Amino acid sequence: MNAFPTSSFAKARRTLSVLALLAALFSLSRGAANDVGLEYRIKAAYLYNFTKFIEWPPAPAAMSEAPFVLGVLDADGAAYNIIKESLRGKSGANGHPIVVRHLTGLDAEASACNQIFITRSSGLDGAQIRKWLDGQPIVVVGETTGFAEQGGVIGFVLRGDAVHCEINLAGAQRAGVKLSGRLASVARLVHETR
Amino acid sequence: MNFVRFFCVGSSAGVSLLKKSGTALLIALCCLPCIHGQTTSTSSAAGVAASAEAADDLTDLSLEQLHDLSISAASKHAEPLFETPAAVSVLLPVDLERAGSSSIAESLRLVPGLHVIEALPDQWNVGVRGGNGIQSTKLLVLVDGRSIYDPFYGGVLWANAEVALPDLARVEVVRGPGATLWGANAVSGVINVISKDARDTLGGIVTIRSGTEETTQAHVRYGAQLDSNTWIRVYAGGASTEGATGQMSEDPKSGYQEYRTGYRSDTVLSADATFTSQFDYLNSRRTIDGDTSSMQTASFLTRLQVANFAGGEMQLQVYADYAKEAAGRSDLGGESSITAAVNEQNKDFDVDLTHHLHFGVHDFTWGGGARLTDNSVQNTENLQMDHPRLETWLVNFFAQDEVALAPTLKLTAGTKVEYRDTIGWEPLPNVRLSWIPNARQMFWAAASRAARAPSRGEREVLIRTATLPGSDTSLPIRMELSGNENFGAEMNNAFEAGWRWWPSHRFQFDLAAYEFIYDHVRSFDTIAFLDPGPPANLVYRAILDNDASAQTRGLEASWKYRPSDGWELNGGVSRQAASTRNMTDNPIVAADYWTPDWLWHVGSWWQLPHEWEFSSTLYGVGRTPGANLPGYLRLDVQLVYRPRPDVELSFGVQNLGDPNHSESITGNALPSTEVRRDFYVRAQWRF
Repeated sequence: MNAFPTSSFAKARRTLSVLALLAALFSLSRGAANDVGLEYRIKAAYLYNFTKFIEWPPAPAAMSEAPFVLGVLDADGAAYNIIKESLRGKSGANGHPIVVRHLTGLDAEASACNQIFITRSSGLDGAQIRKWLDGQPIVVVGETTGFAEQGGVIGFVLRGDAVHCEINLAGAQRAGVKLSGRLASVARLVHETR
Repeated sequence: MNFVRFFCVGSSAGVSLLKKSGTALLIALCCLPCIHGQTTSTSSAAGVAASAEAADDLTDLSLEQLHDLSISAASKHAEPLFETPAAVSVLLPVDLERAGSSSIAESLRLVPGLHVIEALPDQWNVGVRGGNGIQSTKLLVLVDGRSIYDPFYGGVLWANAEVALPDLARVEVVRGPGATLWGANAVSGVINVISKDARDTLGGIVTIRSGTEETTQAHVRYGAQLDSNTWIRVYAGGASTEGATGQMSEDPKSGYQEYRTGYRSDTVLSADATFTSQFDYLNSRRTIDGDTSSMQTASFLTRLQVANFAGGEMQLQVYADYAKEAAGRSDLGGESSITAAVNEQNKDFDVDLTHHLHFGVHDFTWGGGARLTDNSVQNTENLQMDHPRLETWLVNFFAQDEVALAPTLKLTAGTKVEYRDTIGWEPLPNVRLSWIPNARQMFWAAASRAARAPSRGEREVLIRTATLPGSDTSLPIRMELSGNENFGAEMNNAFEAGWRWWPSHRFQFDLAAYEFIYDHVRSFDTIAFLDPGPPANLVYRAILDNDASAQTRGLEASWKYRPSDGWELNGGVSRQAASTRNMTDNPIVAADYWTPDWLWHVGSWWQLPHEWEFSSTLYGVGRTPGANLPGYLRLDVQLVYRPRPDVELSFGVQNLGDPNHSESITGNALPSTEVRRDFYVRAQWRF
């Protein structure tokens, strides 16, 4: 990539991109636009906290040194990058290092995760996710409307300009995980719609 | 949603003044240097380009901190409270839970500079920055923007300011005058109790608390979604306190019972507009030494918030309020005590409009409102009002602008102009300056003028406070207290400054200093005359006047420190002094300017294994020089067991170290009880 394009076409393109940047900044000021980067960094921090406030069923002895695997199901990879960067070098409960993997679908690689974050861009619906889960000890976290009510364990909700959580205890029970009471201070409980 | 919105716009929604000016600043900064790739530290927190490299490690935050962060790109600082040029504290539900508070008034002990007195079962007196008589006359208390203020007493009845803990969003406390945005009576402070949006209280919750002080509290709430864009919650609750040691007698027949019910609904009208409606009803009864008084209040409030209205955010609020009080007896002191029963009815109808917009480097808020109050007090033998029933109007306009003078310097100037029947037109200006050199610390200073409007009682009442029988050599004597139709507003010229140092997410320190100069303060002139009767009486009458003055000054500090994930510490300390001139010795009046010389607290919370948590808070109240009262210490401890998100069990002791003590500073002048050690159990279940 040439940082200083000299052709007139390239100059025009550079001017346009500068203008686009200014326009983007102006549009930030007008409405209630949210900082998407910050939104995913907050969600990454929540996902990190969930590893400490949720108890998974005990792993077989051979796996006790295994890292904690967080899968991010993300169509374009933007959320995955932010989350991976935020959790670089972090460890979950009992010192298990956290590994962040990019998932492209609900497949065998997804089954190897302890926790999966399903982004808006993935386009999956609650029924598909629930069917695939079928009692696996995986905590699925989503950010689409009504995610927890459709069977996910935790859903992120945007209330105004803050990120809150919804918890589905029935979903947690099916996955065999135990949620800490501390989560009640930042989450509200929802009931499944089916 | 965050304090700054409250302070500038006066409600819990709408984008804040300061956040918007942060955006204006960003544009100002970036339009010039951004092409050269320069950014300053103040602009790094916002903007799409900067977010990926911002140094903040959010995994360092506690769950509760994450819950409160703002992702609005307009914020320079993810915690906008940081930028506010005022002495502000926010109490979150988690703070009240950990302190084991059973009421909102009690939780205010956690704010430096606030002196909280438990005077009677469920009757609290709260003084901000000096002075804590029976009435909290200079403190404006709001619930969701609705004023809780009794126009007859000129004070706050705290039972009206309760929101059950599961439905509470937060309590915002501004120490210092808030007159420009809130009008007269916001003289020493403003407290806004904000309830949660109905969307945040779905499902059911039951809470029961029971203590050895024979205090029992119960609360039930259920919230649901009615249709695709309406949510509603309904609640019912009650409390009962039996028996307390009175200062004046050991009569066990003292107690308090209350019942409450109400609802709140929130409707999303469009992407930009929300409509809220709330109804609350309270019925309470208090018995002291066999005499019973009762109170019923009902209020209905509606609010419309529009995010894109004529270039900014708009809020329109309309509410109607009804209160009925029947006081069985008010003991007004003296050797032969007199019963002065007060039967009062009060109706309020209030309309308020706020509009907030920004252009260029300006962040501008303006608005206005009107309130009609219909107050009637029944005349009795010992208490008479000039007008048994009085309708008064209150009309106000306000405007406030915040200008970025330089990248790190902001000036806020504004005024409210109020018209009240009792004091005519009153301008209430304020000016504030804030200097924010970086994202870790800021300095602010403010000067403002506030007024405390006269209450109905102060202008019209004639109370017989005592009678002494005659003898062979002297006539019977009658003592009276008289209002004055010319009694005017008490004024406060306030000067404040503060420093906020938040070096990391784990440590925060706030410091504030103030000097309040009160003028036209309530005083008494005493006259004596002969009332021919028959029967003949010698009358000593104390008439209210505005001849006194007072000064209070002080320093307040508060801090929070989170050494590790499972341990949090917090604390506050304040030092204050007051002096008065031309002030009577009568404690009912003079106590307004009495203050403990020190107030401090330190609290600690630990996460223990297996879902147990332990917290303890130690409070210290220094001696009150004016009343010559000693200070006291109070220790509260609590153990909480939270096995799952839907079940919670707490065990605690309030006032652990001390079997009982008196907190009231008016001594024997007014009924009060002693605060006793209380062992309690609290259970909460969500369904």
